[in-house]
Amino acid sequence: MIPTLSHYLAVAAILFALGLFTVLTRRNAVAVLMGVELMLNAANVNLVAFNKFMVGGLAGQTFALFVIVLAAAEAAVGLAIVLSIFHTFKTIDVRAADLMRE
Amino acid sequence: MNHATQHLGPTVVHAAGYLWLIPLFPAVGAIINSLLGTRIQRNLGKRWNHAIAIGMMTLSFLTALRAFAQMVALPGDERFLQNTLWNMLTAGQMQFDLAFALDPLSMMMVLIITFIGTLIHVFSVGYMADEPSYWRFFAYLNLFVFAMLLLVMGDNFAVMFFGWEGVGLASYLLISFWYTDIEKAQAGMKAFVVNRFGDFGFILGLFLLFWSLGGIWEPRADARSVTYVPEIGYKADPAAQNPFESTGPRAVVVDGHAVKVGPTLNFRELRDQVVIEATGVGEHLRHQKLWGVALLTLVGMLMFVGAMGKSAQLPLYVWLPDAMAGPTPVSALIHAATMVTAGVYMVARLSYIYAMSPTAMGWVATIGVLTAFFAATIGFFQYDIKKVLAYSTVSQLGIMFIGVGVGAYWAGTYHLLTHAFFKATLFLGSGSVILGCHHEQDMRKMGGLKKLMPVTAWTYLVATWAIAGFPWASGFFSKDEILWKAFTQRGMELFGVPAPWLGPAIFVIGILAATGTSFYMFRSYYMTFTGHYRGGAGHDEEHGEDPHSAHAAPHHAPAAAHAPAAAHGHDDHAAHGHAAPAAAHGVHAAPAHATHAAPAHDDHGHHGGPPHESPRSITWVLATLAFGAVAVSFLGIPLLWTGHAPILEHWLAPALPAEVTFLHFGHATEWAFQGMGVAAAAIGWFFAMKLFKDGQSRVPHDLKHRFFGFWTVVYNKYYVDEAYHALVIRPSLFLAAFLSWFDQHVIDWLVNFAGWLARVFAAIDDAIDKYVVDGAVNGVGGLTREGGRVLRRIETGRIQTYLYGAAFGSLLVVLLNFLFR
Repeated sequence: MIPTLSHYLAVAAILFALGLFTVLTRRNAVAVLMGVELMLNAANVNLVAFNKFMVGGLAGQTFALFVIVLAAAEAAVGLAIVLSIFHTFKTIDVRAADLMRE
Repeated sequence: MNHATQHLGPTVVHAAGYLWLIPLFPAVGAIINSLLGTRIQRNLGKRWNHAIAIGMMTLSFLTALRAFAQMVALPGDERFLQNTLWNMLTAGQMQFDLAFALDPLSMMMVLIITFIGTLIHVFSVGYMADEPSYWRFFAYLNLFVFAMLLLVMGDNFAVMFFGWEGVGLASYLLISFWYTDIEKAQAGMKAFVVNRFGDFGFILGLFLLFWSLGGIWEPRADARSVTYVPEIGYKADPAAQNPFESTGPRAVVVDGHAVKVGPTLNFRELRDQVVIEATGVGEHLRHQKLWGVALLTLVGMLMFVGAMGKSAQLPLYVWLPDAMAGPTPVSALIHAATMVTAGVYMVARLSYIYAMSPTAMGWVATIGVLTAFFAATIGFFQYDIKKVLAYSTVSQLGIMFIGVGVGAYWAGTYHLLTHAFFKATLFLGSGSVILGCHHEQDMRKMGGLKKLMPVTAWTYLVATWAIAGFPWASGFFSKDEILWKAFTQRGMELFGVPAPWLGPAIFVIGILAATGTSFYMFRSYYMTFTGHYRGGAGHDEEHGEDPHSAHAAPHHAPAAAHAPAAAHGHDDHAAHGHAAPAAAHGVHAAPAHATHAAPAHDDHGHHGGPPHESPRSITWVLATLAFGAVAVSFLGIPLLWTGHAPILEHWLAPALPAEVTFLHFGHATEWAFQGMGVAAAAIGWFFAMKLFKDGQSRVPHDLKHRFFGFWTVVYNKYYVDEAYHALVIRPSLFLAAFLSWFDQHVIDWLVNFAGWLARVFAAIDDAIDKYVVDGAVNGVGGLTREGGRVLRRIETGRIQTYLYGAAFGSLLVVLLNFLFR
């Protein structure tokens, strides 16, 4: 079976949904970050797939690389924030960080 | 005796840049003594207070002499010195400067004021020696002289009016100098208020005159004669029907001089345009009528109302006798020699206006003669020596007004001069007596003072001769001239009705007044200076009989109120070793002391004991003034005696440009009339001598009881004060009470009703506000709040909740996209 664009898109969609589910349901901030990574990678899959089947050239792959770099940076910043939250609240439960509400 | 018709040209003005110094000096003295007086008195002593005041007066007098010298050197008709300082006001056609002017008339006044003023300042040194607020007295006195100099030296009505009001103020301050005594304070207020009535008339007359000069008159054909050639245009400007809108200065050229024509406050401009016939102004004024009355008559009569107040004429004279509450030097300076003559001065200053209205002349002369006679009769029975002199002053002012009323302007002015001297002598003499008798003013408590106070007695006698009209003293010359001119004046009118009989009638009443004057003045002389000293002799029998009202003997009433002071007086007397006579005496003396620092009297030792002559500063002044009272005779020796016009008439002629005609009589007639004048004085003297010399005769006592009713009426001054009280004061108090009631009950009710109404409306408005407006506002607020409370639930602050929203929202968008493609 020769994989078509639809297969890739389906994988990406499942990956995205899993990431979203993780972000929405997990109370652990690190887990939420991991969910975000899943969603970013779902997007990467889409970028590469569309490049291969629809456009051609290198633009899609390049863009995916940039997203990976961005994800690394995002993880660094995100983890720093999580660390800061931990310092402040002595927990990394995202429910605790609701000061902006008041 | 007729005023020769002189050629009247425009006033020739000579500059004299130093004139302003004359009033300045007393002003400076007043300022120094009022601002620094207490400190000077405390730190340097009283002598510096009076040194400043007298020094300033002397400088002022010397400057006046300087002006006199300059004036004498000028040709007779050019004697007009002028000094303009600066423009004070320009408003439309009304403009005036702060400017001073001296013509022979005001020169005479200035010399009187500064000379007699200086002497009276010197007198006050001795008289007020015990006064604690010494500085205040001299400050006021200087202030008065300043104001009086403004009055006579003003180049225009405005400056004159400043002075006119200023002397009123100074008079008020000095009458109530001892303001802790309520009666004296009230006397000051009385003087001030009565003068306001007069000033009201004066201002009205002034406005009327100003207005009449600015009026656009009907052009009369005969006024536009050959001599009347308007240069810029003294013609009716048809565009300017309203005199207040007529434009610009207008001038007529007379003999090469431009004469300003039109409304003015300046005396010189007024005189020039009215007096010079070529301007046509006099002619126009003469024919102007207002409400059917000749306009000049109204002007003259209204201005004379001002003179009535200031110069104490019927019916506004009532303040002057009360003004005797002030210190005696004040009575001499202000209420005899200078201020009260301001009215006479004013009429003489405006002689050309009065001369044009026979009715105004008759009005002035009639009021004058009635006052002269009326006041003379009151003088008959007064016991207070100062009250006698006060009524005498009122009477003599009446004589002056006869003079300026009948057109003998120089004679009226001359009487002003002689009166200034002899009345100042009399008042200061009475002051000396009062001081010598320990502040006793009742002549029944005096007597025999001639031996004890020789200088005072002699000077008093000389001045009495002068006022009575004996030909060896000055009063004769002025009074005789006035009465003679009255007799020969037949052109006066009484309220528009020709009254040729008025002149002779004035003469007859005037000669009766002169007889009375002679009588009561010699009565006062004999009661005071001859016989035995009655002070402290317990000569009290007449006391009980006096049906006097509260006014009759005000110095008795406070005796009880000042009991502690009286006791104090006793102590002093005892200490002096005169216990027996002092016991009775002290009761009367003490009230007078109590108001002005009884203890201070001991310092000088003139307290208690027999009367004594006054200090030299007083006797010296008395002698000088008495000499003056005789010496000024030489200014007015009549034409009949020498064949020359009297010196003063000649001197004043340029300042009195009025033309008045008198009847001519032979020399024999005039001699006879002079004889009648002397006879009148002699008769008065004779009866006074018979009745009062040495206090021996019982006739006055018997006569008093024979005509007790009449005596009572006159003694109480015809109850004029009571009449004023009933007719003026009571109604005004009643009116005030009524208005107060009206205010409280009617106006207040209206106000309260309006307030109540407002409150009702406010309550309604409040309810609307509370329930409708507030309800809406609160409703909106509540809705928002409730909405917020519900909606805030959504805002959890948790990022995941929002993501749920975002995720389901996106899903919804996608689903909808599929569903409604």
